[in-house]
Amino acid sequence: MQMLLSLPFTVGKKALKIWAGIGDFGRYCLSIALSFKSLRYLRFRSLYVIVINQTRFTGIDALNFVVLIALIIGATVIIQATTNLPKFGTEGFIGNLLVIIVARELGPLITALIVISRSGSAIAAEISTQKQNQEILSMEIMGIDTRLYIVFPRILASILSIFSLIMIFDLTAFIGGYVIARSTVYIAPEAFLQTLVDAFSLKDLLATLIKSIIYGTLVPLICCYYGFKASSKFEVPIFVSRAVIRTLFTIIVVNVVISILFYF
Amino acid sequence: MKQISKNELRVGLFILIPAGLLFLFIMFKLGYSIAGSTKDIYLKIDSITSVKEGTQIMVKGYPIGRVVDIEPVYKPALHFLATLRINNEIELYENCSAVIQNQNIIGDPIIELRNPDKKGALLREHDVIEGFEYVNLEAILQDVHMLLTNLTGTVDVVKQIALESRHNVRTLLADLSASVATVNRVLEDSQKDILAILGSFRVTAKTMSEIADELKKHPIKFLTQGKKD
Amino acid sequence: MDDTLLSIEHLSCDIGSHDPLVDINISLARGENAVFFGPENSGIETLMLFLLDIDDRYEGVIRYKNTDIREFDYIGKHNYRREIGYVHGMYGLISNMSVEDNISLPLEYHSTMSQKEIKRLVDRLIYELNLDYCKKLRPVDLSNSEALRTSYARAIVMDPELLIVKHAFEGQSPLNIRSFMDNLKERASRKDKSLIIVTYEPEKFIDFSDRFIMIFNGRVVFDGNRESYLDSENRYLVQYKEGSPAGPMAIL
Repeated sequence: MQMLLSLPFTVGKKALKIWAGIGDFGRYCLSIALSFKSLRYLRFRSLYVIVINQTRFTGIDALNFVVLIALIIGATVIIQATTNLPKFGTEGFIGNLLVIIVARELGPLITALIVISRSGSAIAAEISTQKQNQEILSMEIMGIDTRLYIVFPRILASILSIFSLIMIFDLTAFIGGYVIARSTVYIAPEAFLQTLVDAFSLKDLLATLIKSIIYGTLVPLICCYYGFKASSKFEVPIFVSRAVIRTLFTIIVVNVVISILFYF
Repeated sequence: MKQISKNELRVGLFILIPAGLLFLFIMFKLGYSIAGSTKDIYLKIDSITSVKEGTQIMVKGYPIGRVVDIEPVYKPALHFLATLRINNEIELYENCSAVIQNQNIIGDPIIELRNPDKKGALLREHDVIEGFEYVNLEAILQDVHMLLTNLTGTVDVVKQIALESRHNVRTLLADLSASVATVNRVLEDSQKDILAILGSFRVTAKTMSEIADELKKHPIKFLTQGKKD
Repeated sequence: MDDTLLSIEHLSCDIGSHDPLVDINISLARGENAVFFGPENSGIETLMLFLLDIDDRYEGVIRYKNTDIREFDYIGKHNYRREIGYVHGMYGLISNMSVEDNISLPLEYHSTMSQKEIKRLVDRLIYELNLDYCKKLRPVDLSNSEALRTSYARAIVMDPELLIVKHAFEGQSPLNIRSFMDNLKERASRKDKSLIIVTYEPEKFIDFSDRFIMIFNGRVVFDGNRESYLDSENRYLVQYKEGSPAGPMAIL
């Protein structure tokens, strides 16, 4: 009974906490936006190395994994399609199916999930460790705007990496799907390519680009936010885990919203 | 520094290759082609008896390209994909038809592309033309042979039908004769009655004539006296 | 011409998270070097937080070149921090950068110098501080003295007006930081640059510091020059020098 009575208080407390968290995140985003004021005092060369290193880590180092997953996903989609669709006349559907399932939804989403689990967690852990080692403090005292110096290049690198990874993911999934499809029906490579090009509209392309930009912005933004949050070494793993889970949740919600806006 | 240079190269390639693919894709979607003045399209054919590499492709008798490759396709049933390399400047539509025909009785076959009456989207690189007619000398002979075979079959069927229906025709004729005899008999039987009726008509006419004369002579008496009896 | 670089006027702070400060009044002239010392939790840490503009929850005024640092706008704050060099006991070296990248970071971020000029300047500092052999190493591979020298090189690479060195010498071998001490002494002798050293061992800096300030329990309990420091009968100073539990300071 007492538990039942305390339920509204617990819910209210939780809601207020979430609201306060959103407010805090909003202020953090605002501080990043305001830090752009110092862009004219900043030499881009100092960010250049960070962008290169972060792109290498987020993009190139994840390439093997992304390619493998994409091949499997493309093949799985086609295996499901060929076992559940009629045996004849599916040649024209293979491309459409891959575009609808892989290029529109799975490609961007799985790429984002891989980036979150690899780079997002690494970003959160790196920043919180830097904070504990007073590296962030040292930078601030050097007159370096840490919001600009740490978050901005990572956003830039993530956008570039996610965009390239999505493209590579889609392409590899198409190849994987095609290889599997050939075992049941013959489709000339050129004809398959033509079907893909026909099925992949400019709207799909725009949606993919928008997803790259939004995911590329959100992943480092949220992970850096939680990285900055840790105030002791004890809190580092807590905030890293929180960064990964909340970024995952946000990305899935955003993916649904974009899909509704574009295709519903 | 060396490490950075290597990283820069890898990162550069990592970004530029997908961006390049994206650019090509957009250009392709917008209808641009980097293939130059020709484009390759595919023609689905059942048999390669008349089409071979080098077969000329024409539009309204004007040569626009040649067949550059023929590949067998095994699934779902054996057919062939002929690669047609044609002039890019000729406007063809994706629902056009390809007619394989002989230029004359002994000439090489050609592929004649015909635009449809109702024009759809433009024919693009790597499009496949599905519907086509297949017209050549051998095919005509084959068709004539098939026609004759069919005709013989039809004659046989007619013959069989005729044999089977002979008895029926005979019965029909017998029935018809019987019917005619019956009609004649009816006519014969009714002849006497007709004469009697005609005689009766005649008597009636005579009586009516007498009544008319009486009426003319004594109209008042006829009216007031009533019947004679 | 007013030669005051930094002045702290009636600075007080009484918030739970920091050690309290009570009516601190200190001024530092351009070219002046000061040693801040005192036992743990004396309030020096809090004072440094305010001085470095990391926190502004205080009463009173801190003026830098006669401007209240709380009145600086975003860019003013940015420029103020550029003019201060800071070396601390944790060194704060960026862990994913090599020694030379750490040193060149402020120049690459702020200065308009070309890459060649930056490299020349950084190489000179690396040579002076005897870091040549480890310039490609990352902080994790450095010894304490190498990390200190790198941190110091990074703090002075922009040639700041004021250098703050906070508890950077504790746990260091005197032999290994010799090049650093030489460089610091040379810097201390310059008339256009100021230096603040925060330490538990003020006697180590007797040669190149002309002002000694002792803080205890949030108050300035001693403020004097080298001679005063050596000769004063100040009870706090005497207890501190002797390291004795007997005296006005209750040490836990």
